[in-house]
Amino acid sequence: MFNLVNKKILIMGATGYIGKQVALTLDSLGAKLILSGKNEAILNEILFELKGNGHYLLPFDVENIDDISNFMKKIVAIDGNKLFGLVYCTGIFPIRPLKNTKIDFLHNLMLINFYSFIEIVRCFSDKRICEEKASIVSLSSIASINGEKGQLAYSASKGAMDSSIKVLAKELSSKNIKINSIRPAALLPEDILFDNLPEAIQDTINRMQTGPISNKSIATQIAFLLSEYSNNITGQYFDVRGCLI
Amino acid sequence: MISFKNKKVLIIGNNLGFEKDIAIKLNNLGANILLINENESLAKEILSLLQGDNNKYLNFTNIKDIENSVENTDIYIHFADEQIDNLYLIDHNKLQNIFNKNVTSYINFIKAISSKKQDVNNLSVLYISSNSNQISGLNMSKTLSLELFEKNIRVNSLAIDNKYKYDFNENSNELMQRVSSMASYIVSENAKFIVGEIYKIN
Repeated sequence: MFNLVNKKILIMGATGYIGKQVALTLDSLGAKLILSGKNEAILNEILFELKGNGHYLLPFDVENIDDISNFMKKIVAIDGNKLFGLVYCTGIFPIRPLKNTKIDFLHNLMLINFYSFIEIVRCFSDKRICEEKASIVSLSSIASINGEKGQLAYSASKGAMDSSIKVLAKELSSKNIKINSIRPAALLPEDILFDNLPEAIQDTINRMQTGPISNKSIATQIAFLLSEYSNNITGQYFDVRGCLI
Repeated sequence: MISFKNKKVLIIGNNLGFEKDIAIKLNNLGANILLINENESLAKEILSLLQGDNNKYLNFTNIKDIENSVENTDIYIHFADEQIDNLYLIDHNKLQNIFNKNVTSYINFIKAISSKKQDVNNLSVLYISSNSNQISGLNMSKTLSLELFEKNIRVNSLAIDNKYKYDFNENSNELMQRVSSMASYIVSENAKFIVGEIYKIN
C-alpha cells in the first residue's frame, strides 16, 4: 500500500521508543535510512536490526544548533542523493513544576524540542538537500493542547511545533514539500512499569480505554504520511488519543 | 502493510460519486463492498470495477433488504453531502430532509449494525462530509465512540474543506483520491488508537 522503496529518509531521534520503531517500519517498506540521535552505540544496535541495505547512521546532538546546516550537507554527501523525507522524533519530556521551570531549563527544552526542529526543517527544505515532493512528519504530543501538571515547558514546546506546522505548510507548498504532525496521547515502552508512571499519565492511559498507544501504530501512520499515498495532505496535526476528550 | 482481506465494508455514497475511489481502493486491498446510494447507474459502474463475487449494491428503497444486508459489517463509511446553499430556499421540510439524509440515516445505520442481534467485532465507522455544513454529524464521532467503544466500535469523521464544494468539477479526482487515501488509513486496523477524531482534508 505504501511505497517507500529506495526513498532516502532522515530519522531524527532514532534511538527513542518511537524513533526505533519508525526505523524498523520504514526499513520493511524498502526505504534507505539515515539514522540520527545522540547515542552512537544505540544507533549501531538499531542499524544491526534493519534487514535492508543502504542505511547509514550519523550521530548528532541537536543542541549543536549552529552545526545543523553542516550536518544536513553531510547527509547528502554520504551517498550523493538528496533526502525524500524527514521524521522528527527528537524530544525530551521532563516533568517539572512551575516553581522549578527556570529560564535555563525552559530554553534548553525549547532548543531541543522546537528551535532545532525549525532549523532542521529550514535546512531540509533547501533544494540542494531535499528532493521535489519531499515529506516531513514531526512527532508532537497531546500535551500541546492539554498538558498535565509538570508539563509546562514540554507542552509549550509542542504547542510551538503545532503552531509552526500551519505556517511551514503554507511556506513549503511552493516547493511541493508536505509537512504534518502526529499528536499521540500516552505510549508506554516495555521497560517502564505502569505503576511507576506519574499519576496524571496513569489517569490519561485509563481514560484512553484503548490501552497505551503502540509505537508500531504511530510508525505506520508516519509511513502513511511520508508516502505518496497521502499526497497533498499538509499542514495537519493528527490526534491519536483513544477515547480521551 | 494495510489489508482489508475479507472485511465487509458498507459504503453510503453521495451525489458527487466520492464513494467510487474508496470502494475500488478497499476492494483492491481485499474488502467486500456493500454499496448503498440513490444513483443506480453510478453504483452499477462502480460494482463493475470491483473484483470478486461478494460485492453488492442496494438502493435506499429496499429497507428490509438493507437491514438484513448490513449484518456483520466490519467497516461503515458514510458520505454525507445533502445540502442547500441558499438560505431563502430552505424551509422546514427541506431542512428535515437534509437532516434525515445526513444525520438520521447515519445514526440508524450505526444502530442497525451494532444492535444486539448483530455480531459486532471491531467495527470502524467513518463519517465523511464537508467541513462546515455537517458540523453536527462530524462532531458526533467522539460522543458515539464514548458510548460504543465498549462494543469495540470506534467512530471517526473526515472533514473536507468547504471550499471544495464550490471548486468541485471533473478535475476533482485528485481530491477524491486524497479523501479515499485518508479514509482507508483511518478505517484500517493500524489506526485502532484513533477514536472519535475529526481529521481534516484541506
